Amino acid sequence: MKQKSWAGWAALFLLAAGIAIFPWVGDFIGQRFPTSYELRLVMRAMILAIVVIGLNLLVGLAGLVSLGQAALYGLGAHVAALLSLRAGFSFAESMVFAIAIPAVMGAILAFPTVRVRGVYLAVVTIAFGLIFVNILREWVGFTGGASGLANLPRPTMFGERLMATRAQSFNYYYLILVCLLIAVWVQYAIANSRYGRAMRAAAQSENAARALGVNVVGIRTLAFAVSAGFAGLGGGLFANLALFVNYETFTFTASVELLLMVILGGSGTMAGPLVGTSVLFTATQFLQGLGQWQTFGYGFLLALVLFVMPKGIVGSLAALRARMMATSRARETGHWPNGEPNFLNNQNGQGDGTGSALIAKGVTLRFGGLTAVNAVDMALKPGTVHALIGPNGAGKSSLLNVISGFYPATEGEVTVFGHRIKNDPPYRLARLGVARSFQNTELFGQMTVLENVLVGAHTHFHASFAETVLRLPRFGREERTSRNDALRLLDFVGLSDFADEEARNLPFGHQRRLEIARALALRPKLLLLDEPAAGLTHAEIEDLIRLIRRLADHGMTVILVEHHVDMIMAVSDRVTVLDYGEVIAEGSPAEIQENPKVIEAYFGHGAPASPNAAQVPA
Amino acid sequence: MQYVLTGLSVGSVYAMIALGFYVMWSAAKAVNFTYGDVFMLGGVLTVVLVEMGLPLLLAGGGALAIAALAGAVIERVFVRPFNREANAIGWMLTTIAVGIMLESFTTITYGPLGRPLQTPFVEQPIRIGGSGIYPQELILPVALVIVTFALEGFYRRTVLGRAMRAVAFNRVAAGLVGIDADRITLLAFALAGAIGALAGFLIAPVIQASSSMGVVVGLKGFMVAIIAGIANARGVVIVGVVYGVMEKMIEGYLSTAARDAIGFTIMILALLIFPQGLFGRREVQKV
Repeated sequence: MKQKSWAGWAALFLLAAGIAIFPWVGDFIGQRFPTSYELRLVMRAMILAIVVIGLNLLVGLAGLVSLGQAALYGLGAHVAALLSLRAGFSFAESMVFAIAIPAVMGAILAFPTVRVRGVYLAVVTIAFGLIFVNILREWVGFTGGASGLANLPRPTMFGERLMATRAQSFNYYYLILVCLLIAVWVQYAIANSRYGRAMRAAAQSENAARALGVNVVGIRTLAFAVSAGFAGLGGGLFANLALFVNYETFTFTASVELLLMVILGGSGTMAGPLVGTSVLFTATQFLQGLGQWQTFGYGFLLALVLFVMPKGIVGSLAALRARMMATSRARETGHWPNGEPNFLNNQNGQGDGTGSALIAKGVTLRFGGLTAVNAVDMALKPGTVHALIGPNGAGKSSLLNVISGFYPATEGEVTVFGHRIKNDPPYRLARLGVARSFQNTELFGQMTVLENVLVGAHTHFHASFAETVLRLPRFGREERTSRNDALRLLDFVGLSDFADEEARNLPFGHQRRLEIARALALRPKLLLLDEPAAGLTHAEIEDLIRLIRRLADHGMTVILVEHHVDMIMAVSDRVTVLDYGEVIAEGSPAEIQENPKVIEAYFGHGAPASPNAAQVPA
Repeated sequence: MQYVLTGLSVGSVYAMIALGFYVMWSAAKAVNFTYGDVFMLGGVLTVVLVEMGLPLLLAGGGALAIAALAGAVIERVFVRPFNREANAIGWMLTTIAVGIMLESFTTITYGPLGRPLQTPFVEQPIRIGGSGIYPQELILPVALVIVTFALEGFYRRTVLGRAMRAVAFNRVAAGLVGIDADRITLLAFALAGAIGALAGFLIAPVIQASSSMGVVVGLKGFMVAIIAGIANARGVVIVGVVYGVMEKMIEGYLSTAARDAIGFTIMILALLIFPQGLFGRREVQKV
């Protein structure tokens, strides 16, 4: 792991050094090389790479597609051009706006669309791209129409004229190189932080991400704003390089080209944008003049890449390397629960010793005409294990979904640790200390086991976006602490040896353990487990019982939805029985076992009223 | 009045495209992203077949059949393999790739310019209360009404239609009762292809069939479907027609240049206020 990132940085250093000495190659070989045309090509490739890096953050991390990225690129270019041409802004000033305005535009486009489905963003960005070109073409008085904006003043910075000519200096060339390196850094810094993890988590399992305290709409909007900001930066640099802009550079085809660069290089990989841009940009230079066939070629290439190597060049190479390096070393599964969960201690609900962890009053949930949960009253003491049982369809999971904020209750109210929840979304409840597992495990399949747990710790990071990108001390501290905690949690559930394995490769029982570890990383005060024993072996259930008991002993409140009667008897302090959405019994496990109503609910009338019979349902 | 009439006809096209998106989305939770190009095929192929000497209706029928086949092929080859996981985005990219290929290939072979399609209904405009309109334009709303009711009847009364609804509602459960969900999805895409091509065939005499006629219309159709709440057929039709009329109003009272900018802005705002669509019901996600 360490070694791999070292190799990556070395490659980047070599690339940067190569680009840096490129203008001087002529001096070594004694020829007029590179010409100013060739220098411009390299500069344009670098600018495109900046835009592609931004798009990679969106596609590769957040799993969203923008088909209007060229328009955001063009927006940056036009902002820079108009400000320096019409308002006399300096280069630096106009660049700030060239980044900020597309970024804001990105947020405006993303916010309404990513709330429902990611697909919508793709549609809206196409629309934005069309409108953008449309306005540029029609609003001749402002943007020059087809003849564009020409004769931009040559940019200056600190009194230096920025240019890239042999006769004077290459300072603009180096400025673009610096911007590219900054872009690479920002991409790396975001990807390896809670922001990048949250983006990937939201793309892989939206529900789980929300349950762990990730504001999915917020993180997606952020992803698109950052991506648009990169496009704007590229646009501003482009305008000041070409000293001329018009709409033809920023059409839908250009957006597809940018997307193709991301996919070709390998979306989600760090080196992908650089590789994809270089390869496609070089290829394009040879394909020019083909007119419509060039467009056709883009379509064909996009389809071909998706069929043949959907991971792109870098992704495929990495997979190949991983296969060759695979030592198929046996991983050892530790026993669990391993040790005491002391490290989870925060204010674990002991704060108001007298209060209840959870109070439900008259909670009702209806779907159309169907009443899933009907006037349920419940009260939980902190530090207890409370089981919810009932026949299939009794409303147990629905009630759990109300408590964790996934369904707003139709009537009634739920109070968690003194906080009344009404329409709070799941991520806000997670921040109050409510964690949950899912009936069908919802792991982030393509993230490693360790990363899954780190997403669980999302709410415990406080370093701001700026601190994260700049790697200020607070970021490093939090990242180290969380990593240590995550490793201890993995140790606690016996998965230490699997830390760098992708979660989807785990056997089922391990996935359950991981889901619990991930929920615990939230350091919850109230833990909701939805059928955690389903699919586990007998021995694993024994372990699970000890784990839950241990958590309760440390002050955690646990709600357990289960069918497994042995487990309920062994682990719970109180049991609530639901049938047709209503509470039909409540009491200690022993009382419930004797309760005739419960037996009737499970077996119907005339069932033998023996306590043993109640153990059969599963 | 003029605006309402022409708006009705343009709106009918948007509504039909949006219906096609609705049919595909219901079956697969994925769509042919460049469905506008199937619409384009409907118009362009009709022109090509007529030029080859086929009678108009036969040419239209042929175009419809080819477009339906194209819809099916796109589903089988470009959507299904890329829509296996939830949240997959592969199908978006592959169908875009197909659309680009279709459009540029048409431009290359058919030429970049539009060609007229002669029908008896575009020779003489008729006058209704002082506004002139081609009878062809009036056929569109009629066709829309027929398609909408036919689709509803198909969904409610035929075995295949019911199977499609079952797949839309719960793919796994439909599979458990013996419905071949993959085949149903394939047929849904073919059906959508035919609906799109029908719209293209009917509008071609009015606007001239060209390779670029599909992109914007397809996009607007998708936006209409989204704004309406993609899972509601009637809502989709209403929003489509209303959008068409609104567009003509903007053209008439403001400017043609501002039409799309204003139209799209209104749609994005509508989505901001009604994230589930105007007629969409909040989807209950199974957690």
